[in-house]
Amino acid sequence: MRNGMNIAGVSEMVHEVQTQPHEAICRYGAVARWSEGRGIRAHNEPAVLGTVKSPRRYDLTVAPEQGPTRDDAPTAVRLALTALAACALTTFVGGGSARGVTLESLRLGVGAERVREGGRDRLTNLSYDLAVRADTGGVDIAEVVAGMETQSPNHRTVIDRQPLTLVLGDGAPEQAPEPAAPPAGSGEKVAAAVDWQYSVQFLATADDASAPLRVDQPKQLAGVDWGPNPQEYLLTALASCVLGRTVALSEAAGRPAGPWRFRAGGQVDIRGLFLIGPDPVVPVHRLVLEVTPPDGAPDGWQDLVREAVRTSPVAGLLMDDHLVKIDLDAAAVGHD
Amino acid sequence: MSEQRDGTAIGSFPRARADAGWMNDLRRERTAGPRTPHQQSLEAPAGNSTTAVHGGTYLDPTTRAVGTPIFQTSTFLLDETSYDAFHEGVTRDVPIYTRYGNPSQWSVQEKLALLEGAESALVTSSGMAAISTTVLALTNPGGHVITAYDVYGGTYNLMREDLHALGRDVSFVDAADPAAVAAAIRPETQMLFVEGLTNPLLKAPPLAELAALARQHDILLVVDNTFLSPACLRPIDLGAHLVVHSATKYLNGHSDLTAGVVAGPRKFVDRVWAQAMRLGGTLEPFSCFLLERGLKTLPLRMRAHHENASGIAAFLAGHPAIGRVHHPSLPDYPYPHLRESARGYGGVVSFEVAGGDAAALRVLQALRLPRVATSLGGVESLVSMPFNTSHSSLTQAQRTAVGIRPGLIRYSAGIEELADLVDDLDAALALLDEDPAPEATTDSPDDEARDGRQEETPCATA
Ligand SMILES: Cc1ncc(COP(=O)(O)O)c(C=O)c1O
Repeated sequence: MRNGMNIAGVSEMVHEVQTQPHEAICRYGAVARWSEGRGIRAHNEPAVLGTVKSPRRYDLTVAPEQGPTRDDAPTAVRLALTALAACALTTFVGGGSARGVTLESLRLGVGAERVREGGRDRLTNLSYDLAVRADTGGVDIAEVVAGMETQSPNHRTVIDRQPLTLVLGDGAPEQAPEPAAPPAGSGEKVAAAVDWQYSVQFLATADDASAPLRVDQPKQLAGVDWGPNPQEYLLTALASCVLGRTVALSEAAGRPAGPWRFRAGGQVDIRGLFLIGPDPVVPVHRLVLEVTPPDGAPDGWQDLVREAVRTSPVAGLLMDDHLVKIDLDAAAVGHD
Repeated sequence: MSEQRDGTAIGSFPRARADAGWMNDLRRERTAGPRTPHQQSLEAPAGNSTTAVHGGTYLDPTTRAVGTPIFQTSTFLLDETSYDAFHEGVTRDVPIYTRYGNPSQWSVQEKLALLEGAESALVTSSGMAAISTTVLALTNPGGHVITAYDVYGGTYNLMREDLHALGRDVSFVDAADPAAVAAAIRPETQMLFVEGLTNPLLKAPPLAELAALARQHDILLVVDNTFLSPACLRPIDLGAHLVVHSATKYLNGHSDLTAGVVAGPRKFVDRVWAQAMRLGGTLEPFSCFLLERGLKTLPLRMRAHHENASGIAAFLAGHPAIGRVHHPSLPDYPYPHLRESARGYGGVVSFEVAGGDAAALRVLQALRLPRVATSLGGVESLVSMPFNTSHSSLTQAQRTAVGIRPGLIRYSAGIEELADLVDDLDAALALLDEDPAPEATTDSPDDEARDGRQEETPCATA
């Protein structure tokens, strides 16, 4: 065990997906629903990890992006930043543990500027503050950080462009509209931080009033089912964000909002995370958003959803490419 | 005294790391086992009997004993190999502490894995330990399990009383009906748990069909193979992911041990092992020895059990004092597909005494050879009645609904002379003629009995 990770177990997984590539494909889903009074509730769908299923029974309330928060619920943007930071750290812990780094503490703060103007809402100027305290065993931490940048699925989804497929009601799958260009100028600062606990368990906090979030992998993937994993948070953020905007647009257009259902799906090829094969696919891909409108939704609801996608900060984060500035604060502990 | 051991001999294992640059450089792969190099390896595929005798045997290099020694210890000297094993997380492969693993376990586990056609096996302190540990290890809170409404009572109680408390939902279906199984599948269904041959009516679910269904939905098929043993049926060959047993029965075969086993791919058995370490249902070394010794004669015994049960079934099928006889060898057996996949049907034959429960009890009293006791699979014949043992918690109506009708006797044929067993039965049944039983059976047609079966019939205690 190193850093709480069963290195042999990870090693066996690496070997398994080398010889049986279909075992590398992990499919995740999140569903967000809106209803009058309760607002947005989201839950994860069972994950299919290669040929093994994990039920992933997690649900949470998502706070609206504007207006009063619901108790201590996180916003979709906070969920997305948490997903980004937690995936980067999961990748760091995996890569670092493989290389023999013994961690004492690990924290990643992720910050962004949220610029809103004329209905557009974008996250820009992304940055990481990575604090590492470790017995490095002679390993250059900057190399582990470089591995994190290239192999973290959520990070790559954010820094690369990713297509998103929309399935609107019974309609044929369509390409989601390009995200609106970020407005000029500066915006409000948003931030979240993720602290490593043990193995692939993390605790995420934010500087708003929302409660800490637990992050973990399924027990089938070296976790202990302590919470949703970074991909599940990302998909929850996507579904909730576009749902929230659709409801807001619908209300602004004087149309009553009903019980919408948004399902976000995506998959990860863990050969990307492991760096297996000549050109492994790293980002979360096959991103899809399936929308079930309320009964009696007015004609043209599809355009409301398209507009919600175009202007959603989370959809923009995933679909567009971004630069992420990384600040590393690494200090050696132990007997280097 | 030297505390060094030959690290390449015991607990050698491929290291995970070879100066890894990233995770792709980790080098450990799953291998069969755990095993030590002193265990007999069967290079060429061997017949069942050969495997049963030789598979996995530990050939002690010091004494050159022909049988596996009993490693009667709870702990082992620590050395660099042990520390490495802790560090790398491969403590299943190195003798450290008997709850983690012991060469006595490894020997018998290897024999069992070879017999079941599995990569790895784990022995446990009972059949229920194997079942509960397997189900818990391979499902998660929020998951769903499908099982049969007529599974063994202990399994039924685990599924009904404990799993929901642990966050797993369970559906009980007729496992012999793939359409019923398919209808119960949900997005969160993780496991289908069935018995290869059920107690006491010897229903045989179509395992190959269920395996295909399970794989199509990313569900693990776990088969309790207690009633047939690998000498008769190998569920893994039919597509099952894992096999569990009450090794208390045929595998040990002498009614002198309580044990269990789970066998399957190392990917899953390792997880069951990790769960077993935490829950604690380890099999201790002396019991491993008994089980390994019992297993050496498994194919031989299973042939005798099969011949005796088939002979008894043939005798009873034509007997005027007997109603229905449940046995796969009989022409009216409703699951003929079993004949294609099985090399024998074990030793159980169930039959209805025409005079009902009272008459059946008189038969039990009159029998000289089989002992009246619960359990099965030992060399000695045993008889019992479901109505006052395994299925006593059911009402008469519920028993009828699951097909257990008045007068049903479960006969576990041992390995005695068939002629002696038949003569004994003949004599016991003849006594019924002298003093006809007062009670009459309710003779519901087959379809009626089947229609009456409900999902979630509260089933038996152990
Ligand atoms: C089919 C079956 N499975 C499991 C068990 C439980 O095994 P054990 O009694 O060894 O715990 C039994 C016991 O009768 C059984 O018949």
